[in-house]
Amino acid sequence: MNKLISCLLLFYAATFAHAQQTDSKQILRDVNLTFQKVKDYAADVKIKTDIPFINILPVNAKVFFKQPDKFHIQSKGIAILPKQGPENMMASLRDTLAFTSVFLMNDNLNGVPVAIVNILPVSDTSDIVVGKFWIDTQRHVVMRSQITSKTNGTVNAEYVYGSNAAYALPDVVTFTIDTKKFKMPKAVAADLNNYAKEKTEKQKESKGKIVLTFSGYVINRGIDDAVFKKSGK
Amino acid sequence: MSSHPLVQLQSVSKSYGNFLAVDGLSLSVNKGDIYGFLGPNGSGKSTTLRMLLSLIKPTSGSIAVFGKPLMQNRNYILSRIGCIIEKPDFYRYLTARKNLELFAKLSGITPTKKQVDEMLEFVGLSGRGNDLVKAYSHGMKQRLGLAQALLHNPELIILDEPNTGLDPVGIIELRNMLLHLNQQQGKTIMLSSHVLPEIELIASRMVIINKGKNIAEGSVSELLNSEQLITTFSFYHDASVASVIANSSWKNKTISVADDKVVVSLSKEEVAVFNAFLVSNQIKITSIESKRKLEDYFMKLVNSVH
Amino acid sequence: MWKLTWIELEKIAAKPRSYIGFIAITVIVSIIQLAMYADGDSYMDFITQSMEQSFELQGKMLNGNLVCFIVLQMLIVQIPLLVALVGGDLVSGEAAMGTVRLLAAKPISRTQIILSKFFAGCIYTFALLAWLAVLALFVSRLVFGDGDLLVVKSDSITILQAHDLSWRFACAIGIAFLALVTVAALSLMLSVFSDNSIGPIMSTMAVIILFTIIGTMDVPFFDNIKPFLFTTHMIIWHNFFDQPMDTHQIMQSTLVLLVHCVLFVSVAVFAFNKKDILS
Repeated sequence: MNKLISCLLLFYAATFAHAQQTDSKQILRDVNLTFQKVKDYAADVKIKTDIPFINILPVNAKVFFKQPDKFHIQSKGIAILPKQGPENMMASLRDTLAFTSVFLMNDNLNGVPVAIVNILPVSDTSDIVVGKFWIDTQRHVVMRSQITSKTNGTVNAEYVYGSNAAYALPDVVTFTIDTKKFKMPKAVAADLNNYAKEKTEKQKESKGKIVLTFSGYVINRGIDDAVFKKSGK
Repeated sequence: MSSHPLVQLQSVSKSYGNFLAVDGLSLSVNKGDIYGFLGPNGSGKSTTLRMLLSLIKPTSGSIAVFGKPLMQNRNYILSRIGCIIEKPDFYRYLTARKNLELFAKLSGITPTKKQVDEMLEFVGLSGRGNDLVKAYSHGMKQRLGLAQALLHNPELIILDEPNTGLDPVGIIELRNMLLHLNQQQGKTIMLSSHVLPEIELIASRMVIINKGKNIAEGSVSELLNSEQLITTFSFYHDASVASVIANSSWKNKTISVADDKVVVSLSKEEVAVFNAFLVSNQIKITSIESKRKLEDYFMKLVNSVH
Repeated sequence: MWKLTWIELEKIAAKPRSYIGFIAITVIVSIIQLAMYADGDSYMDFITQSMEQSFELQGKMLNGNLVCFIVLQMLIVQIPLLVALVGGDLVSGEAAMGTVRLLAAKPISRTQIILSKFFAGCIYTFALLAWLAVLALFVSRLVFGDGDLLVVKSDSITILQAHDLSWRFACAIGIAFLALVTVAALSLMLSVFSDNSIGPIMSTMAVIILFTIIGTMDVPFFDNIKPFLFTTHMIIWHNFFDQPMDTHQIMQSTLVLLVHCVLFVSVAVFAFNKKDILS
């Protein structure tokens, strides 16, 4: 009897292991399929920037997206955003032929079972060097990403989903940026009498955060292409 | 005449380092005087007048005006004084009218347009009030200076070398204006000059200063109309004149004798008598020149500075 | 006193040189605005190119507030000269023209003369700054529109939101006014010691330039002197565009400028009272 139970348990374990995805292509395909449900969306976004050397209050903006790759942030004021935004993350996953994906392992992220997948660009000219994704295989959404690019170094992002998880649209995205290589821009005028001040604790840090909090999603209601025309600085 | 002088300087001195510009000067100006302030260039006239106007602080001594000490009652005293110090200067970029209004306000009054017009007419500048001062000639500025000094109806008028740069007509007109102000309006006038005849024509009292010191002070008639005149009789060359005079009663009045002139000290009346004496001795007179002792002394002062 | 001040203002208004400042400001501001209008986008690209390597910048960076901020940088050198041009002439100009002896012979105290000239100089300075504010802020906003202000310093970047800017500009202009009044007081003081205008004007600029140089040198020997130089505090208006604002530093600088102002005017009053008017 005990032998039978053990065999049954082993069988179920093997079946379960097989049921958990290990096919990186399939995992990414599922994520894309989820995101393809969104033809377009508009949402309010609150941008909170917490970067050494930069003093800025949270900015309210509006974000627009239209398939396949139109993305626009409309803000009354000046907003500082990461070079690699959420749209870049989806764009990097969309063209499955542009990269090779490798399933690394299954893991647990904040109590959610995730599959960790690496993507390696096929082409040498691609800006992305490597990307690592923690993907919720139940909901088919990206929970965390770590994208290393030639121009921007490594950008880490954490995604928190709420009621729009079915569309892979996050409520909160937190970007962690490496600022070690950040160069101060030229001042618009001479910085006279600016004593060499002691760097604050914040300024000594080499990492910064940008938190985007989305709300009021309006999905698949149609957005005019004129919205995505770039305005001047 | 009031018992207190209108202006009184007592032992006033001013030194600049080791240089003593005014040395223990005392003088007094009575109400109603036209007071002449005479001296060669560099004698301390302007320094004294500037001290009187509180432009310069005396090193020692006291100055009282209208019976009150100057430094303690400065604003009260200056509000009753009108002045021109050296050449009159104005704001060249303003009109004459504007200059007058501005300085009148500083003197404590706000003149009406009519008052300004009347003053401009009085000094002979009517119709030129709206011209910029930079377009004015020196003579016109002098007149404008007088207008500025008078517009607030001061009791005491202080003028430093007012004739400088004026043509003969201007000098006469100024003289008449000052006489009118003194005789018709009762204003006390103090004017400085290094030209004795001009002072003689207008002043009732005067002082002569040299090197900052009071040389002589008193009424003009007392100082200038002294009995003794230094008279020079010039004649055609005549060697006998010396012996004629030596043998006469005039020898004690003789200062010097030469072959062509004789200098004697005479009263006014004696000039004619001595002239008759020379004519009666066949001496052919070519000219007679009289100088008062004081005038002679003053000319020596002036010449010694040059 | 106000009557005297009004008289001094009339004199300032009548002098052609008083308008040099207004013309200069109009020309300089117009040139900057024209340049920014013509080529402002590429200028902003140049400024932010290093930032854009790491970040995406959204929003209208080239706006009236930024142009105004750039224009206000002129306060460092040009406006003090324009103030000194009039301030340095207040007493020495009268001496050169010969009117000082008439002025000093009037029934007004020498203290009143100096104070009325100082107040008139302050009003002139205010008028100059007000004109600058109108051109730099209002005209710039009219031409370039409103927007957030990007303040780039050598060690930090601050972005201030549009609705938060008007009071900052007002305070900055206010403290700049105090700084320029200090310059006016200095030039007035130097004017008392001279019989021509060029001397005080050049001396004022020389003092400002010298003190500014000392203030920018990173030599330990000067570190003890720098806090006491009024030029060190002349650019304190910049601090109103910090986040967070260092109010302690602002108060300190205000005090230093006020003390310098009072000192310069006191010396001017004392010297003019003691002076023998010989011109």
